[in-house]
Amino acid sequence: MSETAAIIADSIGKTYYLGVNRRPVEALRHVSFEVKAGEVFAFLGLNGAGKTTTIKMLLDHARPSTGRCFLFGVDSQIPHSRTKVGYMPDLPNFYRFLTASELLDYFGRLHGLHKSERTTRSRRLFSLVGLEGRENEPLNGFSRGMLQRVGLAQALIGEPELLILDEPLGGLDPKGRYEFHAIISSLKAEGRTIFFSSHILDDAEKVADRVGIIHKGTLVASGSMAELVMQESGFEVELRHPPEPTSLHNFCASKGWSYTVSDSITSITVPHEENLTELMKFALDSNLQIYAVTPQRKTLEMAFISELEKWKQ
Amino acid sequence: MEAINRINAVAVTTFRETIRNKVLLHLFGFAAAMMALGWVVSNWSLGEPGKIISDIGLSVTTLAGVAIALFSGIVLVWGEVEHRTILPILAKPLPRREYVIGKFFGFASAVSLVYAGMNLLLILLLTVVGEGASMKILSAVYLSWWEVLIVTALALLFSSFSSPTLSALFTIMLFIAGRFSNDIRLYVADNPLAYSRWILESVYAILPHFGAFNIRLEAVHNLPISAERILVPSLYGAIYCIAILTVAVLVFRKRDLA
Ligand SMILES: Nc1ncnc2c1ncn2[C@@H]1O[C@H](COP(=O)(O)OP(=O)(O)OP(=O)(O)O)[C@@H](O)[C@H]1O
Ligand SMILES: [Mg+2]
Repeated sequence: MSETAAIIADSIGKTYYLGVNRRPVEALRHVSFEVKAGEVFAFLGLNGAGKTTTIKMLLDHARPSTGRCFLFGVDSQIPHSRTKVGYMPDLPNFYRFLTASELLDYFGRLHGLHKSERTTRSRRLFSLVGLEGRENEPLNGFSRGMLQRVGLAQALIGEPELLILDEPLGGLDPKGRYEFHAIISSLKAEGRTIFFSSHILDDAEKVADRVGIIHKGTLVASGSMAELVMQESGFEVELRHPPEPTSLHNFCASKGWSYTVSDSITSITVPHEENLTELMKFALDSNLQIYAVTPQRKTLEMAFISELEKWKQ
Repeated sequence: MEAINRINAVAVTTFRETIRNKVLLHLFGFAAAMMALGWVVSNWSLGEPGKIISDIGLSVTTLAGVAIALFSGIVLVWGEVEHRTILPILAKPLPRREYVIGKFFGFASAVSLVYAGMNLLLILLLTVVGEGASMKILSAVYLSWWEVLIVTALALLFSSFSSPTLSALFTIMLFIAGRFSNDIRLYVADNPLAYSRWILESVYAILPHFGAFNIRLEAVHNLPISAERILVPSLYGAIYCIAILTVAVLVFRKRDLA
């Protein structure tokens, strides 16, 4: 390991004891993963899978029953490990009688920022999250989505190198989601590390470099987006053909490629990149017009479901 | 230095959030009404109005201060965990001990401000009836303030690990036991069994000796009050608060937030 990882979770487990008879509930079981600096890591799982619990361990909101976590190489049980960390809770909630700018100022002070710096950063962040003009209103009049935006601003006030976001898109409208994706991209471009949890696969697919999939407290898969999603890549080739494309269909059949015909277009699915060249050659030789070539990707949703099914067996 | 800045930030925010809550205003209004009642009563009765007002007034401000500390204090940390406002705060590089200490100072300042306001009202009332505020009355107000501070610390301690109902129960029990701690000592003196005597003496030592802060009778009746009678309890109060805060920090340091 040459560079210090932004996050190391080393076999963390968490058991809660419920009720008077202290019935044990294993919320996490030996979860291990690593998030490298500069990476966007999506932490995916169904409701109750253990995403929030994992984040609690990373931030020392609760202590793991087994294992340890490190943020930039510092044990997460040391407050100092959070110096360069910004966190946004799911369903953020703040002091009701403070104004948004008082709140942001408070969080800036906890990062040890000077007054002038707090003022400039607050102004910039309020405009970034689209709350300019509302910063002097008390937070008890804020809607859920607005609190979510305050939550993001608050997470960014310390100019963190690592962002830990719990379901950041939860309460956002479509415009908010779009803006969020833009913000994430620009933060990533600045070289910041982003760890976010979600059960919305689309969001992960759009922005993440790597994903971890957690199910019933166990990390069932983790890897780069390319590894998880592009495993079963193939190509769909669409050719415009003359009225009687028998030779084309025979060619496909001889190769064992499946095809479908509609009007004047035949679409053929080839499994490998080499097949693509073969088919192109044939098309050019036979004077067929190439209409479209599309790489076929397994969607993250398919990957997700197949990982869960693998795990069940 | 950085620690002081962070504690200060927590304290200022806690102060604002507490003082803007209407509950405090209602309790303040209640105490004002009680004092007004005392004034009315003092007009009807035969005794000196100044004495009656200061007698009732000092008790009312002390009890109201204690009530405010108790009822706002027991939800202080518990509420933050319950409503999850604590999560982003403790996700900052803020050690939990600094959070607890900052919480105490911010909350104690808010309670003290309300306590001061009520006593200002009392002094105003005394001035109206031509009595004015003697040094002795002010001393009594000052010492009772330590009583309020100890209840503040106790409520904060309990709210850092238990629900408001239990915290209220614990705090009220300790408050009552502390007010009668002298009786426990007298009972100990009478008790012949060495073993149970040892236990009772320990209990007595741990209980807050609220009697030490009570010079209200002396103040009302203009009896002599020595400097020691004020200095020693002040020192005791400060040490007691520090001890409770230390326990609160130890309890809160490793606990899971939900
Ligand atoms: N404080 C707690 N006490 C007892 N059980 C808990 C506690 N916190 C979490 N759990 C349990 O741990 C499991 C994981 O919960 P967690 O909140 O981590 O899920 P999640 O993946 O964040 O789900 P969601 O998508 O709904 O937010 C659940 O079964 C939950 O009931
Ligand atoms: Mg969750």
